[in-house]
Amino acid sequence: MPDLGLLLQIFLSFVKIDVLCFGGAYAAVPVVQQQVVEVQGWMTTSEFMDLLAIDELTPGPIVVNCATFVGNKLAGVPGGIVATMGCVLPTVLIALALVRLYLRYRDAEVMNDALSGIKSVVAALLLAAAFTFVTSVLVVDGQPDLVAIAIAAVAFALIRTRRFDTIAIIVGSGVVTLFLYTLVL
Amino acid sequence: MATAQGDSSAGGSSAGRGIGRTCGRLFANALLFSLTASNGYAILASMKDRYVTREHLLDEESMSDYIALAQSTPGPVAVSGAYIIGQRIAGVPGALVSVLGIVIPPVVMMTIVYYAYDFVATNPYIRHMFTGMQAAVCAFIVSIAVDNIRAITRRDGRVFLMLVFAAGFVAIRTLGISVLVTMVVAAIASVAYFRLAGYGKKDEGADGKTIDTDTASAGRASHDRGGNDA
Repeated sequence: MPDLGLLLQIFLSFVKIDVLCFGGAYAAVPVVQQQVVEVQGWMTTSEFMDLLAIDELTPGPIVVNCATFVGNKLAGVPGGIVATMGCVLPTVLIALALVRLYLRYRDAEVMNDALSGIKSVVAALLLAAAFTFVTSVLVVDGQPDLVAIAIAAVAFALIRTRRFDTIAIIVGSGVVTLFLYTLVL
Repeated sequence: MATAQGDSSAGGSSAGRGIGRTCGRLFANALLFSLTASNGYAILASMKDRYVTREHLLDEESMSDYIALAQSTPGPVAVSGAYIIGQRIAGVPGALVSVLGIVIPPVVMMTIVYYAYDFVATNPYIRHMFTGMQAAVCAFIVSIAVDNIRAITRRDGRVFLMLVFAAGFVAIRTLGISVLVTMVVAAIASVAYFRLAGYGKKDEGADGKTIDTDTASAGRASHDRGGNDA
């Protein structure tokens, strides 16, 4: 049984993460990254991006998948469970509170207005995360990683056509890169 | 005007047929939705299809409200949606089993996947694959960032919101202000701005209730122009 102090720390970190995950499916990404990589130092950016890749391939909300992964990494199965509990609890409690208050959506202009502002912050967070990931993946040891840049560029173009599944693009990129490195380079 | 007890089904009819069986169904359905849906909004859509369209446990208007409420909470909409809808159908027990059903499949799968990953992560072939996948993830995040920024430009009050965006970026990235503080300030400033700028209450004509559950970022449904944000 891992250290209870660590479990508590994991739990509280994910409580904190969950509270900040406003405004859309991917809003979790920069929040988790900041907490797990920058603040706690529990993973490197590269490991975190591995996690994001895996998350795209498995079902479930991003934040829950991150919690399970990070929790297991730090403290095995109990860690994964405790982390997941942490990232679910605030959501449940706030949902409980909102149901009690039961504001009709039409009357909840205040919520709407606040959310618009929050979502603008989320956009800023995502931009910052984009910068972090670009520098992590596309520049290695100070040198631009041309293969990664090429893959990312093609992937970006395919994504923007909105005609391909996320999974297909991610797995395809992986396979192509593997092919390039083993057979060509 | 629906009230907290507005649904005929809020714990009433289900008490007659046994909370246990209803909870069992809620749990099983939640497992199914969690495994078959591609994102949280698809889960909400599945719930709407099952509980409104097929089983008539909830009415459509209330469901729209619940989905909107779910989108107002932090965290995954699948979780808050499961809680709220489960609670309306079978009280707190229903809420809890719904959340469990949504959460258990990804936790189990990701646990297994984590150990598999840990086992093979140092393999050079796997590393090459992940390098490629990381590049794709990078492209996705950039794409989502672009979409989110464009979504701001389509909202009411876009000039103000762009300022919030820029200020938020500087605050978090340069000044090191915490995300929580930045969000709270942005929320307060936005409420104040939209009040003062006279957007006020929407009249009856505005469709304040349609939430497009297919978009990744529903935004101010009553104020958004244009369609998908993502």
